[in-house]
Amino acid sequence: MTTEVVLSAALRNNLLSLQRTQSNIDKAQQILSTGLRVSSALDNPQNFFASQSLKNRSSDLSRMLDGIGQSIQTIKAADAGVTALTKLVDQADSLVQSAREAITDGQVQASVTGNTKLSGVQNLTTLSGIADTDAIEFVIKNKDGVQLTLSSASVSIANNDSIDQLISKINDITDNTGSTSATNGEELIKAELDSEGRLRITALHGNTINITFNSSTGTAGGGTDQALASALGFSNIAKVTTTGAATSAVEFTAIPTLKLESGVFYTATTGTLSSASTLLTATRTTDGGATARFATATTSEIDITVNDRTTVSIAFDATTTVQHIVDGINTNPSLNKLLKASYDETTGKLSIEAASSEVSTVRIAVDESAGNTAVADFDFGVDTQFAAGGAGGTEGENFVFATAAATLARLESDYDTVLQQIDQLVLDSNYRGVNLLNGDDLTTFMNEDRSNKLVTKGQVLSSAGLAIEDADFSTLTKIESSQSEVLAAKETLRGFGSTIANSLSIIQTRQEFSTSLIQFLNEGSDKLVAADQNEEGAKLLALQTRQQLGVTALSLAAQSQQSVLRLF
Amino acid sequence: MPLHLYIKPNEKLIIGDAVVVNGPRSTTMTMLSRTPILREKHILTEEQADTPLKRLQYLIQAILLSDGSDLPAREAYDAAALMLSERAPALRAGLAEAQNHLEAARYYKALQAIRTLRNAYPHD
Repeated sequence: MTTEVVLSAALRNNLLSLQRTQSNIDKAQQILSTGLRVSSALDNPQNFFASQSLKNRSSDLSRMLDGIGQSIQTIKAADAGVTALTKLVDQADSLVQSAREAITDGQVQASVTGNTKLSGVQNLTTLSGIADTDAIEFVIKNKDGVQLTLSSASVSIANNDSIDQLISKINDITDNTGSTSATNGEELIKAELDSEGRLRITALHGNTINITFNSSTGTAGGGTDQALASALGFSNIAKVTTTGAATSAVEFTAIPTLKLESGVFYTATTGTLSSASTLLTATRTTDGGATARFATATTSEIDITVNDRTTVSIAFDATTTVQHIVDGINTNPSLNKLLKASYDETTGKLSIEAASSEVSTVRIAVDESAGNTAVADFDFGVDTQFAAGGAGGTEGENFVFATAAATLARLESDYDTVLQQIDQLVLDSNYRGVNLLNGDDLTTFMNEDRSNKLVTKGQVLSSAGLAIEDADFSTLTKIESSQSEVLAAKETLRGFGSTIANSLSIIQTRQEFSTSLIQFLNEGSDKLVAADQNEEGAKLLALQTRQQLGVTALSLAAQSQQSVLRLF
Repeated sequence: MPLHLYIKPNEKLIIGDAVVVNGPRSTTMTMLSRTPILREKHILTEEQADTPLKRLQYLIQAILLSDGSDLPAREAYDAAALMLSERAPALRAGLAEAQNHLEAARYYKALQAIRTLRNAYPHD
């Protein structure tokens, strides 16, 4: 006897229907939990593979986008570097500018320091070369070339005067211009002993000072004057003004700059300044005036002596023009390393500036070898006119240039420090191994298969790459070459800055595009496979309802009207 | 009140507990007493009852044919109708109408109410 439960056809039918419902419920639940209408190739092969391919491309692009983000950071780092470098180069530029000003305008005071130790000298007249009533005479001109009236134009050394008393006498000299009182003006000269006990005389307020050593014995400009200057320590710079003539003096003019600037070269025509091609003999001391600045004989020369060693004579005759003097200095191979001349036609002034920090003294003189009279009135310092007479006679003025050596040395060292900073900054601008400022190239891939790329060319922006040489501010030419190096470096930086800015802009545009593209790809992929949660939720509820009702019906299927209904 | 019926040739119908089939000609008959009557076209077999509303109709049909004595069918109907009215608010009004007829023992009217619902929502 069999114990197997036999299912009627109706029961069997119900069972099948329930199983179908359950499988539909399973499917709806899976759709709801994954959110995917198509979760495997079996659901809808076409949509599934299309969606998969979109998704793959999107994730490739995302990876590529990460690379783009890094490229952007690299360029931003480089940009920050360029900005900092520009500041450093600007700093170098201002240092060069300062050096140039120091060497030409000499932002320093006219100052001379002797070479003899005088500290502790109680009685100056005991020194060899100094005698009672020896005098030191001062002439002072202000920045505008106006000679000042001094409370006392001369300081006399008396017996038993100590060095401190002499210094005190010099310091007592005040400006008496336009005043009747002898003592109420401001102080003009600062005399002192330096740390090594040497006499230092400084003209205050940027004035020009001329100092003459006048011994109470001997002839003017003679050996005793020279001995006085030597005793006070100024043998190297105090020189005779005139040779070959009776009237001379031992003196020097200290200027507050490294540049001699003449008076205005007028012409006989009122309102017209000399041009570069004007003959020297045609220049005038006043506007439209009659007094010629220059008078010449055929054998005259203008002598220019630098540092008491290099003397160059420029021929000076009736055909000499202003330009000839300028050229005579600038084209002379031994002189043009030291001095640089120029004539400004708008101001009518001839300038002779130091082209090297080595220049300390310059003598400008007129020289007449044949015994005729030659006159030159450059109006550079305090002596208005040089007139050479007698065979081989010369007359000139000895200028002591302001010393800029210390300033220049400091500027040179600052400049070198800036260059070192530039080099270090370049090395530090590296971002993840790529240093655009040190010549590395940055490759940015723009698409997922790396077929499209942008190469941002790096450049070496170290001081060597920018072609900035180490500082050498010894001559104007060298400073000017530093200046043009710095200018070129700025241009280079600016150019590089704009190149990387361009790259950055391209890459950023590409980044935005790729971000949108990724979004579109993802959306497209989702549309192919994602489920409508509302629809699927409703479907699941309906299926569950059907299932529960189905269970109820199963229990009914065996009852009451089965026999009747079987007939239909 | 007598019920007049027109019967098509060969039409099957249930009258009370009996299944009757007409001969080859159409005929008319009049019911003089009250008994459950269902025409062939209104009869739903269990196999055909494959949606929630059809299930309900099937259960009402069972109640009608037993003249209200099939209590398990009634219980099953009540549970199913309650569940369905919760899950498908759109069916609520129709289900309530059918419920009213059932309470008042108007089983045929209840059946008609469900059939009307089925016409309105053929997929439920």
